[in-house]
This record gives sequence, structure tokens and C-alpha cells, in this order.
Amino acid sequence: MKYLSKHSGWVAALMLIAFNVHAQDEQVLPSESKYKDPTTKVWFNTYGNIRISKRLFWDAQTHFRFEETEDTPFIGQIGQIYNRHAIGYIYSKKVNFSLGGVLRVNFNTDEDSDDRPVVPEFRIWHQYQFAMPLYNSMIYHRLRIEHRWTQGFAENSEYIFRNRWRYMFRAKVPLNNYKLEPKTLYVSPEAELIMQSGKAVVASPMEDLRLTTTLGYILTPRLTIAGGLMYSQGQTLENGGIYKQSWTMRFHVYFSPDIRKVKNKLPEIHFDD
Amino acid sequence: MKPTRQPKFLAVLLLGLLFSWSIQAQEKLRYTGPFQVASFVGEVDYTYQIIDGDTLLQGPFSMKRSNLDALLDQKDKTFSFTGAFENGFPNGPWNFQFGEFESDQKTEVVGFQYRVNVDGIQHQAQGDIQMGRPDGLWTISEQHIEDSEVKETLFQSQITYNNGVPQQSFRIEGKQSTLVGRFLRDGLAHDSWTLFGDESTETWSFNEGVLTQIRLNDTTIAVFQGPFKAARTINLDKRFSKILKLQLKKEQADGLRDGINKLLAENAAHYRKLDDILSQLGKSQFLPLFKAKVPYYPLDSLERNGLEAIQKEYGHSSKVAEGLLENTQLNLLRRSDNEAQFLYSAVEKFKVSFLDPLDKVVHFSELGILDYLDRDLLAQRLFPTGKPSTTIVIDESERTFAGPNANNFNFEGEVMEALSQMSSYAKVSLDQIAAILYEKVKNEQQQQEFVVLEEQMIAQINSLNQMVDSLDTSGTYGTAILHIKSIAENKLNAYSSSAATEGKLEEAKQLVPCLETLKSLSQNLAALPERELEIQESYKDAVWNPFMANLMEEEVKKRITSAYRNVLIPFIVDEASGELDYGKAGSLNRLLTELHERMLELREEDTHKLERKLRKEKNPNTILELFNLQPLEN
Repeated sequence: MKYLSKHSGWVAALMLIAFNVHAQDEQVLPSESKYKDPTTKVWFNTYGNIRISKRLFWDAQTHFRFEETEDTPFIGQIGQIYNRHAIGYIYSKKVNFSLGGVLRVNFNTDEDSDDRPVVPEFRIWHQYQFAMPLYNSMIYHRLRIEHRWTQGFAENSEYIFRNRWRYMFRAKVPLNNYKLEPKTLYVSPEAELIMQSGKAVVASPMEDLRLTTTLGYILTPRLTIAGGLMYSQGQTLENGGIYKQSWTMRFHVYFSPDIRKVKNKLPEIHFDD
Repeated sequence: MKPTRQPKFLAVLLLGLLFSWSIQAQEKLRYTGPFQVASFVGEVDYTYQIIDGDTLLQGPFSMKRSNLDALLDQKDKTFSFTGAFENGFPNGPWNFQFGEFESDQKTEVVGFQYRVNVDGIQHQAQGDIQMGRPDGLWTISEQHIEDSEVKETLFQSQITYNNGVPQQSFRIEGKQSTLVGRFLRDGLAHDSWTLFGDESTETWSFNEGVLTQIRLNDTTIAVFQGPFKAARTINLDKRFSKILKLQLKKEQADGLRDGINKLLAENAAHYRKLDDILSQLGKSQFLPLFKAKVPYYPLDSLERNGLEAIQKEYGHSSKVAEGLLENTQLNLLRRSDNEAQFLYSAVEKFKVSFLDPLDKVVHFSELGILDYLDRDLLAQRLFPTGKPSTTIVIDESERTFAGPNANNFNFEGEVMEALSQMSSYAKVSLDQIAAILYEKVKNEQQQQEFVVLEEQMIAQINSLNQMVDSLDTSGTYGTAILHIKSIAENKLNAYSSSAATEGKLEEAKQLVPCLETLKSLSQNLAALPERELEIQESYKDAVWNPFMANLMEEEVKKRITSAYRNVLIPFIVDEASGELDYGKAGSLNRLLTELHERMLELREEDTHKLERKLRKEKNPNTILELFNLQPLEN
């Protein structure tokens, strides 16, 4: 009990969630939507795309996400460490599919919280990506579906299950070249809408809308770096009338080594043979 | 008893028969099948014996050929020989037929045979042969056949022999004339041989083989009018007609060309054809020997030695003269060089006045008629306008030519001696002229070589300059090319200011390839940017970039391209900008070409080990070795 009383705030929150879940009709929506103050975040993301056979690659992403604190406005403290892996299938040069899992480690960023400092989160995800050349640029459509099990930081908190439905539109426009090739600076505007569903989701299907602009530089065919700024907003799970916002600085490293033997690499370009 | 005795008797009879057959079979063999005699190929049927390993024809012989397909297609050459042999000698009646026919391709059926009409020529010869020699009456004819009928007799000879020796009177018919004459028992021509022609009559009068006079229509020509110191019996053949021809004046000889001479020669040709066949099959002396007597003037030993020397010297001199007269360079040179023209004319004179008569003598000697020619007559025939002098007068020049030691030669003596002297004189003179003229030609050739080489040099330096002018020479390659250009110009200047000595031609011969190499080296250097681009392109590989979803060109084997770009090319350009002799320019030139080819090869090869070794390697010669190229020697 002592523990309980100590974490009464979390208990109340949890009860609220449980209440929400179990008694939907009792959620109280504000008469006007409310926007929380935006938080600031910094993400360092690595994207690996490791070719393992003619048609298959290993998608290996590790992200380090930091959130602001009172003391350090931008870089703040570590929020999540995010490991996303999948086996990808190259259908053609322009179309590929992936299926894999995510282990996300969530750090408790609430300085006042006495709950567990770290909880894991699991996802199964699959993704369908389509690319289209347009003039000197490329545009991309990405459908990503995630099956997600999350839990709160509170002790013994139950996993809740949700599905996420994500669509991202992105373009890459070369700035100093007529096409995307090494030694090219490009700008990449992107917009991603993340919808969610599940028993816990009552009035907040729009989890996140992310608007990002990134500036990237292709170093070699196998290495690209990029950096950009993202604005995002979305309904909180607790109350569909309350929107969270954030500004995120994102830094990316894209690498795509090929671990196949030389003789298996050739011919490199003919996927349709 | 009877039934038992009869079989016994029969058995004995059979045995006896078998025995005699086997003896026969051992002795005589028969061959039928394809066969070739002289130029005739056909089907043969004959019997023969093998005695001491030799094949002796024995018994009947026949050989023939005819081809209907060939006849219908174009023309057929047919022949048929039939006769018999005895112990390898033709013996008994013989018949020869040779035909050359074509057909109008019209056929008709008569009885059970197809008949084809033919046109052509038919030769026929028939008569008896006694042990290889003609015996009795021999008739040889040549007929023109039209529509399978004799249209015209072109030639017919009828001669009677006694064991190979022509006898009594004979008759040879040509197309337009007939020769009638007779022989003595020993084959010597005798009495009048007369050719009755349409327009003329020619009569050779023999007296016991000696042709004393010829009467052609109304003219009488005396031939061998005795008395002679000596006379010899020779065959009335080509040799005789040659002797006869030399005996007569040219216009007389010309008048006789188509008469008896021609008919006799035609007759001889027919006999020779038959003899060729018979002598291949067995032993035969089928050529009939018409005989005549001619005066005999044998060469003495001195003359014989002189003749041998003449033959040798003439062979040499005629080659020298021919070499000079047909030398194209000399023929060009003599147009501009009076001395050369003078000597050339002298050679021509020697040819006409000395070599041509000597040629005749040599020819007479080969024919074997020198022994039958009166020496004075020979001198007359060889030198109708008189013997030449040692001093050669050149018509178009005021100068005369005299050979070495001209005074030692004397052509006035007896004809064979004079000929011998002339032959020696012609030889030494021609040798001397040849020595002078060839030296002249050689100088001229050198001059021409200079002209050609120097023209080449000018063309080379011009083309080098043009190339340099068309290039952007601001970069390092440009500097090297300008450097090479100045080297080339310096070399050319050095050559042109050097004195015209013996060695200058050699210098020119070396300078041409040197300039060529320098030019080629600058071309290779000028091509470097383009080649580097080619290598850069070839060392690219298309890589699929999963993040961009596109293909990107990626440079591969970077250590190799880097060694090429950053070490080897600067090294070569540097070397080309330094001191440069012919050899080094050649090596650099070769290296540039080979390096480029090697780079393109390395792109395709497995170069893992090479790439590892190239790490941190900065020494160009070591890299060249690693590339399997010849390092540049300093």
C-alpha cells in the first residue's frame, strides 16, 4: 500500500486508462481541442540495409531518441532506444517488402516518477514501399503496419495491444545534380500519418502526424547522411480532445553494405531476369 | 572293263590339259583397264610377260578412248591404237587413229544403233612394223571430217621402208602441194625431189645424198657444190634445214621456208608422235631416217677450246648487259646524266655488235651444226657488215668508247679466233662499264633516299606541330608534349646542320623512326585525358541503393585506379618531361599503350591479391611489376 500511495499519481493514471478502456462512454472530451505545449526532441537514427542475397536484405535500424528536460532543452535525456529489424524482399528496383520485429526500450523521462525506469515494448511490423521516379527526383510511398504491445512504467502494468496504420509520402529532390547519385545534396520533404486502433483506442485514432524536411548528402552508393526538422502532432490516448505536439531534430545515417561474395553480386542490376 | 578304263583315260587327258594351261598362265599375263601412254589416257587391253623383272609386251595390244558425253557436251578427243608386240618390240600390222570431234547433237536411230554426226579432224597412220622399225608401205594421213564424211585431206604421206630405211619413191601431200622424190637403197636422198604446188614448183636436186642445187620456179640456187675435203651423212631433219639455211643468202632462205622444208617437218612431226607412243610401250626405232650428205668442217682442238671459253664468257657478259639495259634506276638516271647515257649506249652497241653474234655461235654449237659450216661463210653470216672494232662509236655522242687494254685485242684473224677475242673483249669492257654505272646508280639511290627520308622528317615535324597547336597545352600533359616537340625540333636542327658525310644517311635513317616515336609519344600523352576517362568509366559498377531505390555508379578496385591515376601517370608524364632519347621515348610510348590495355584487362580479372599488395605502394616501378608490366629502366 505504501508503494501504491507513493505512486498514487500513476495509479490514478492507470485507473483512468482502465476506466477509459472499460467505460468508454465516460471519457470526457473537452468542448474544444486542446494542444499541449510542444516538446523538443533529438533523434539519432541509423538505418542499415544489409544485402544478404540477390533478393533479400536485412533491415537493421537503431534509433536513439532524446527528449528535453527542464535543464537541457534540446538534447535532454534518453527517451527511447529503438531496435527495428526485418528481413526485406526486393521485388524490383522500385518495390520492396519487409517483415520483422521491434524491440523498443522506453526510458521513464518523468523526473518525478518513482516507477520503473525502463520498460520494453514489442512490435511486429510489416512494410510495403513503392518508389517512383519523377523528373530528376524520386517519390516514395510507404505503408507500414505495426502490431504493438506496450506497457506503462508502473509496476505490474499490463501490456496493451494496439495496431498502428502508417502511411508516409516522401520525395527526394537532388539540389546540385540532375539525379540522385554520389556527391549529391538533396532535400527530402515528407509527411507521415500514423493511425491507431485497438481496444484502448477510443477517441484518439490519429496517433501522430509527422511533417519533416530533411537535407541529405549521398557520400557513396553505400553511405548517405541526412539531417532535418520534424513537427508532429497527435491525439493523446487518454483523451482524444487533447493533442500533443513536438519539434524534433533528426540526424540519420543510411548505410547499405553488401556481404555477399563478389561472384554472387553480379549482375547487380538485373532483378527481373 | 570298258566302264572302268574310260574314266582313267579321261583323267589323264584332263591332267595334261591343266598342266599345259598352267604353263601358259605362268608365261603370259593379260591386263585390261585404265592406262596412260605419253599424254594419252584410255582403256587398254594387252598381254605381257615378266622376264627378269621387266615387263615385256607380248601379243596383241589395243588401247582406245572415246567419250560420248564429252562429244555431246563440247568436243571429244578420241584415239585408238591397235597392233601387236613380240618380245617387247612392236611387230606386225599397226593402226593408229586420233580424232578431235564435235557433234551437232542431232541423233538418228539406224537399226538398233544411235547415230551421231561428227565434225573434226582425224589423223590416221597404218603400216607394218618389223621389230620396232617401219617396214613396207606406211601411210599417214590427216583428214578434215564434216558430217561424218571426209571433206578434205589435209596431209598424206606414203613412204615405203625396208627395215626402217626409206626406199624407192615416196609421196607427201600437203594441203596445196605434193612432194615426190626417191631414195637410194641405203636411205640417201637421190635425184630430184619436187614439190608441185598450185603456184610454184620447188625442186631439190640430190646427187647420192648431196644437195647440189635448188630450183625454185625459174631461179636456180647452187647449194653444196663440190668438191669437199670431207662430207658426212646426216639425217634430213631440222639440223639439215638449219645448215641449208645458213648456206643460203637470207632472201633465198626465206623463199624456201614454206616449201619442201615445211612439208618434211610436218611429216617428221607425225612420225615423232607415233614414235613417242611406241617407244614408251616397248623398244622401237620408229623414226624414219631420211639421209643426206653435207660437207664437213670439223673444229680443231684450238677452236673447240675457244668455243668453250666463248660459251662461258658469253653467259657472263649477256647477264651483265641485260642487267644494265633493264635496270630501271639506270634507265631513269641516264636521262639526266650524260656519262651514264654514253655508257648505256656503249652497252647497247656491245649487245648488237658483239653479244648477238656470239649468241648465234653458242646457239649453233648447241644445235651441233658448227662442224658443218664453212668458216668464211660463218663469218659472213655472223657479221654481214663486217667485224666490229675495239673502238665503239656511239652515234649520238662525239665520244668513242674503248674497253680496257683495247689494243691487245685483234679481231682480224680467223673467225673462231676472232670470236674468242671479241668474247673476251666484250666481257672485260662490260664489266668495266657495269662497275662505273652501278656506282653511279648507287649514288643516285642514296640521293633519292635522302630526299625521301628528309621529306618524311619534314612531314613528321609538321604533323607534330599541327597536333601540338590543336591541343590545350596548359596542363602537365601539355608541358610534356611541348617538351617533346622541342626535343624533336632540336634533333632535326642538329641533323640539318651536320655536314654531308658518309654517316649522314645512317643518321637520317635513324632520325625518321626517332621522330616517329616522339610524335607517337606526344599523341599518346595527348590521348591521356580521354583514356583516363575511359578507365574511370570502365571501373564503375552499377549498385542498387535501397534507400534511393535507384542504381548508382560505384567505382570499384579503387586501389588499382588510384595507383594508375596518382602514381603511374604522373610518373610517366614526369619521365616524358625530362631527358628523352630515342630508346626512352620508345619505352614510354610502349608503356603508355600497354598500361592502358592492362588497366582495361585488370578490370575483368580477379585482383584481390593485387589490391592487397597495392596498399600503400608508391613506387611506380614496383607497381608496374605488380601489374605485370615491364618496369621503366632508368
